[in-house]
Amino acid sequence: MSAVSGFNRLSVLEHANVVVSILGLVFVWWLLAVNGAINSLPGPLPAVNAMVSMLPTGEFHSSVIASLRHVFVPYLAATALAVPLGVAIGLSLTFRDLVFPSLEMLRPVPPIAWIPIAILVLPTTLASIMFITFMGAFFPILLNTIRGVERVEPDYVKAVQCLGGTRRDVLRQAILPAALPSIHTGLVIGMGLAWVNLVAAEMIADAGLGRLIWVAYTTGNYANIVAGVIFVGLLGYASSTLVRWIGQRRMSWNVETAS
Amino acid sequence: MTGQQHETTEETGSTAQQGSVLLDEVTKVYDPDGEHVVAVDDVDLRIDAGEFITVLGPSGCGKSTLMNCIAGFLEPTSGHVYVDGDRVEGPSERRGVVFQANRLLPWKTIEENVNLGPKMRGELVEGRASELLAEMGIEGTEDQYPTELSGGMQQRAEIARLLANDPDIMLMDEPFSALDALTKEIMQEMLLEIWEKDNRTVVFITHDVSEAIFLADRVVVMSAAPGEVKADIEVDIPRPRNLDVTTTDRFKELEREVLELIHSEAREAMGGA
Repeated sequence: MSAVSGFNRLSVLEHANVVVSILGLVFVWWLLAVNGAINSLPGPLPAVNAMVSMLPTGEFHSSVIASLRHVFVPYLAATALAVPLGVAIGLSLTFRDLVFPSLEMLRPVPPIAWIPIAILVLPTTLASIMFITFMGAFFPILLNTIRGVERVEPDYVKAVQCLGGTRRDVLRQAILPAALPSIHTGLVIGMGLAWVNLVAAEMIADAGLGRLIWVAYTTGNYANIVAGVIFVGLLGYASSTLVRWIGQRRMSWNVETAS
Repeated sequence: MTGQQHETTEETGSTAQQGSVLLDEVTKVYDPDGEHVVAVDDVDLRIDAGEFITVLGPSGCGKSTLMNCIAGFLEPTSGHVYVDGDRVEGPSERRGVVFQANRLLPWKTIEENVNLGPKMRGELVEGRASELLAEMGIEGTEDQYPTELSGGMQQRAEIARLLANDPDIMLMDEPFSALDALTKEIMQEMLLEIWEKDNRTVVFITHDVSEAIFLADRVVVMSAAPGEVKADIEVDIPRPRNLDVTTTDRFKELEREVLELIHSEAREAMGGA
């Protein structure tokens, strides 16, 4: 009960900090733009104007929908693949030795480097885009799942075993729940990186916020570039917050994720 | 005729006939980086069904290793562990463990923890958890999470979880060592009450001399490096016991005897080194 009231006070403070943090960023941006310190950087006001005029347009709506699709479909696929794979790698040393080294080689490849390969190998542009956002989400989810499974307190496993649990029970009652906070961390980071990779991926797209930004760039509409970037940032932030919120609701027992 | 015979077997099964343990020349060697560490050296030990034994020794004497071998979590390097004549080949619900630090599953409520064993084996009885929690003196904690309870209450809940599974043998690895002195005494008396009711075999690991004597029928004293059985001392203090017996002459005498053993062992170890 004391934890609940403590949580409320903390969250008020946190919200205040969020506002201060964002205002600080806008202020620095304004300073840089007004003084002409950075050539032709649009200031906050033109950017907000561009955002407001963008909001009601059909092009903006379809861009948002396209981008959400480019992020969420691959993200769910990455989750469906990386979590079971991570559990298997975390549980079996042999499996780890067989699979992990090659995955580790692919991990540092930057999203832009995947574009030509994706275009060559994959049948459609859409598949190429989704592959690149997939790669952003896949590795953080995989690595955090492996880490979570490897660090499960052995006594939890023993406790389930000496209560008559089968191997399946050990996995379901001990290993997965114990690894869940770490998996959740991977899911939050993975969502962020899917959005990071999105703008690179949508260089080749015919729809989406990334394309909106590139079109604004080629037409020299600098305010629209900044507006697009802000929208991507906002949607990315909202997506990560959604994942974090779902996770916290599922893990109310976990003291570490409660704050 | 046959039916009657069958019934008798079942009856003996449900009384305290089951739960005898035999350690036959059990040795456990850990081999990290080729460096042999003998944790348990050639231990022979017979524990009768329904007996309460404590295993007493300094830290690092292999008493936890011994318990892990009985539980089936560890396989002896040589020798065997038998329970009721059957070789132990892995963990079983017949041998329940109470862990040193609380190992209630933190993501389950107290009720879910207590119900875990019966649920996994498809023998869940509605209301049994609440009954056991009340018996342990922590009724009303059903919907709380383990971290919301004090250490002593968590330990009670863990014992309730074990009882829900109705094991023949309770293996307890220094279960009260993290509790404050007062809570510890209350838990000791409570454990004896439970044991006197069902007469399950108990193997209780501790490094606390008076705890070892107060609880046990027999105190098995172990020495360190390598872990060997140094002495096997019968505790002839009548039951039922409460903490008053710890002030009797006989208790003090046993305490002196055990302490003398441990100290001579320590002197030997230091002299040898």
